[in-house]
Amino acid sequence: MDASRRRFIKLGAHAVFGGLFVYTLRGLVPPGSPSTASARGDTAYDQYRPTDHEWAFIVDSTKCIGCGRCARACKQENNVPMEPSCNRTWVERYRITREDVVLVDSPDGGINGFPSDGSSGEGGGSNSSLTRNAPAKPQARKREEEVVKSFFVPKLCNQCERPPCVQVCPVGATYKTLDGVVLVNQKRCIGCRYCIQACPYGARYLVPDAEVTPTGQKHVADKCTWCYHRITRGLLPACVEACPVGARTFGDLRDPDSAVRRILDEHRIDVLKPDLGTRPRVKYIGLDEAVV
Amino acid sequence: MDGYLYPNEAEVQWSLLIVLYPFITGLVAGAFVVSSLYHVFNIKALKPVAGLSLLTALSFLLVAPLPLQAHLGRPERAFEIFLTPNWTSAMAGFGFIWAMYTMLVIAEVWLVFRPDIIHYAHTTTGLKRLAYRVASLGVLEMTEQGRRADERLIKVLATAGIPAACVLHGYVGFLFGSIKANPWWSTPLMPVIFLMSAIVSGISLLILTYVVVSVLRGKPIDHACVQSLARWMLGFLLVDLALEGLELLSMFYEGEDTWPAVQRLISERLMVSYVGIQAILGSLVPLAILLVLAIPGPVPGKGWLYTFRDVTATRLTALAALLVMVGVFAMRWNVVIGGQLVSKSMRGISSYTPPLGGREGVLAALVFFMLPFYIFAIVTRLIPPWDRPGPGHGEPPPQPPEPDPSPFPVTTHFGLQGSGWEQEAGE
Amino acid sequence: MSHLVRAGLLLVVVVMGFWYAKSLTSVVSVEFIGITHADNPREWAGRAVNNQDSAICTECHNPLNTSWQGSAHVPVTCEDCHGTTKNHIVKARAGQSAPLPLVDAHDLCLTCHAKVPGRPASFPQVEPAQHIELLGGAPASCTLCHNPHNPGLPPEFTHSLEGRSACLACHGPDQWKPLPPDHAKRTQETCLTCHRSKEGR
Repeated sequence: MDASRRRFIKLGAHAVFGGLFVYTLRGLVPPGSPSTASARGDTAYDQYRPTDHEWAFIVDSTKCIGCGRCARACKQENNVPMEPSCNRTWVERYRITREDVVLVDSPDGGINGFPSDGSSGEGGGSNSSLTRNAPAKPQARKREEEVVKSFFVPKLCNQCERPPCVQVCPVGATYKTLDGVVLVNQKRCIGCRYCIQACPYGARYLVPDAEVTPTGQKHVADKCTWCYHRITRGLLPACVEACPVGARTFGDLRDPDSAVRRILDEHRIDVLKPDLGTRPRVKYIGLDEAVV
Repeated sequence: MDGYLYPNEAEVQWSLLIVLYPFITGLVAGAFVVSSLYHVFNIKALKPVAGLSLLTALSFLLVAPLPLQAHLGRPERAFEIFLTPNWTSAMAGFGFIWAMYTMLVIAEVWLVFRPDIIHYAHTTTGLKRLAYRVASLGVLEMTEQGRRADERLIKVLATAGIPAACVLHGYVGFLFGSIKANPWWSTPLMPVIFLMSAIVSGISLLILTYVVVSVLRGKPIDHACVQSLARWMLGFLLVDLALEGLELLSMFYEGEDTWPAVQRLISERLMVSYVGIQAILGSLVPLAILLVLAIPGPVPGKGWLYTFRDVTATRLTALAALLVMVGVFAMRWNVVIGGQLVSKSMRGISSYTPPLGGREGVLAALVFFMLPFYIFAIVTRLIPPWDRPGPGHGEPPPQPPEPDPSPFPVTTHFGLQGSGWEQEAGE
Repeated sequence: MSHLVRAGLLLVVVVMGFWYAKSLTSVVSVEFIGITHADNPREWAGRAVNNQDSAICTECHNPLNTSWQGSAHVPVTCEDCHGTTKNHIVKARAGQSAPLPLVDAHDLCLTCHAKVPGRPASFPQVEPAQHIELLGGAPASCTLCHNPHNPGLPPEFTHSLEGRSACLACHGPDQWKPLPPDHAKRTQETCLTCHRSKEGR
């Protein structure tokens, strides 16, 4: 046999067997990061079967009073930084004038409520108190600037059935659980912010340098989790619990007696930006054409 | 901030560094296309820049991941893109596309410059000699068989490199174009627009590099080569402008509910950078220059509007190239930053000024942009693409061109005149 | 041709090294969720619950709770006004002193009940300035008249006489809660002759 051909075959054989050898070394390596919760013996989640539940979240915009208790409860429950640019949920106010001009605002996400004198309240809308100076009478507005319709719209992550954020995450750090909740593995997130760009609803944000953060990780993406740690224990999400007027409802559609089942069967339902095909699972009652 | 932004939109997420990244990869794609025009399509007029373009592509390619990594919230986790890519994400493609393309370019550079490496391995001493010997992988003789195998493989790589370059820059366009949430980004034309403007910017970079390097070295410029590059730049510029214009026109004509927000973006935030810099200064002015310069006239040897001297033509081409590069950078800015200024509520516009310092500031961007030039200087020291030595190369260094009364080579092929397709005399 | 063989071998080594590094660090888990995520839902589910249910407050605050549970404020959770109670509960259960000061109490009421455009008309809201006028300009905070745990409409409240010297501000003939018919034409000064014994009606 030709010398160079012999050499080539020898080389090839070395490559193949060397590769196999390297491959078997894999088996000596222990598997990846151990589970921390199971080490803690988290029995509540052990009993939880994700595929048994079909969660639904309904927002009744006709009931919302814009008090912001939901936003506050969410931040307290989930250790969300108090910075105004970090919102897992927020409330928007829509005011429509006689000339069909739509004014929208959400001072600090609505966490301090909305100002009572009808002003736009940028940068923190604290309400006037009885003990402070009574607010000046609203300035006489021109007739066409007069607000003829206004309402509040609470917003949160829609936990879409076809989430664009999951589609675009380059490392697969954000994903959808078996019970349909979209979560972020903050140990894997590289902070590229592609998911924040892809979300049509502005539901995501990057955790800043703050003392208190949801999982102790900074500069990673975060968003509403429907209080996954509460719903898997049979509790309601914090915002639903906190709402004093019942504008938010949460429940299991598989339960025929649930409030959400009844509401979905009896009301006409809307979702945000249906034309984008994300199939949001947060359903709205009482949306207006002005709401985006 | 005007109007209403969603509370989480208070900050612009993708900064100046993300403007820089597509600009850099665009330069890579364009430079590589020029090198492939020579190696695959045998456009002889581009010979002076064939090796130069490969090295330029390599220099910028090596720097490309750096602005991305610097921008990440968790840069130390960047390698996860390679370890656990999510295949539905265009951004995940980056890791593999870039790695594959880097290997391709390194392989092609190695094959093209292998005769030089072998030559230098024999003629240098000390550490450099060791470096060249390592680079040659221990094969220190250039055999005829080896040379033929190299040439075949170069052709294969250069051919494969063209679709690879398309993917390298097309995926960036797709990364933006596939985001339905953003009306300024979402269009199926985005990958092609990015690719065309990338090629344009790469060609302009090569023109400028070639001219500057020739001046620095005190060597004569091959004006025919520059004019050939100018023609290619003109062609791609026309396609690029057509596509960008089409995209804007169809947005305007269809007038979807997101159009008022886009219109507001252009009129309130992008007048200077979009209309002024990208469109007028960066596209229409160089287009005008190139149309006068690069289109042959009915009389052979004379331009259709004016006949320029070689030197003037080259200077004007260099000016056009500079403007084009500025225009393409502005285009990246307008796409990346502009798209983020529109609130997804379609009711507000925000603003962005990059900070001067910091990880994502202007200074950092300048450093990232200058770095490829440093790498280029080092690489051209080690394997200069000019005055090439070594056996098996077969070509003397480029001679100064014969004095020619007309700026364009005379041929009878109307339309292909001076494009470099024709054989050079005496070949 | 051996230079190509060597180059090819180098490439193979690099690629295999990469795959090896990848296999070390990636753990395949549940297909549906994706690689490396099997434990992440468990981690999210295992996070501590911070907000406490109002039912927990019943453990200690019983009489208060009974009136609250029958009131119009039952949809308002304790934490809506009192903030995070977790530390308070832990300490109180351990027998330690656990004060839970209510910050900005008077602003709290107005957070929900100020007249803000956009609130449904059926929701009880007041224009603060007008509400003061209604009461003769006297009360300084909402809780002087309204029991937060049982607000009622109109509020049933025990009268502490301090700060309420203007009896007729509320109980005058055209006022919000007028005097009973047999009390007509009585003046401010006569009220206190009978209505003064202890904190009470």
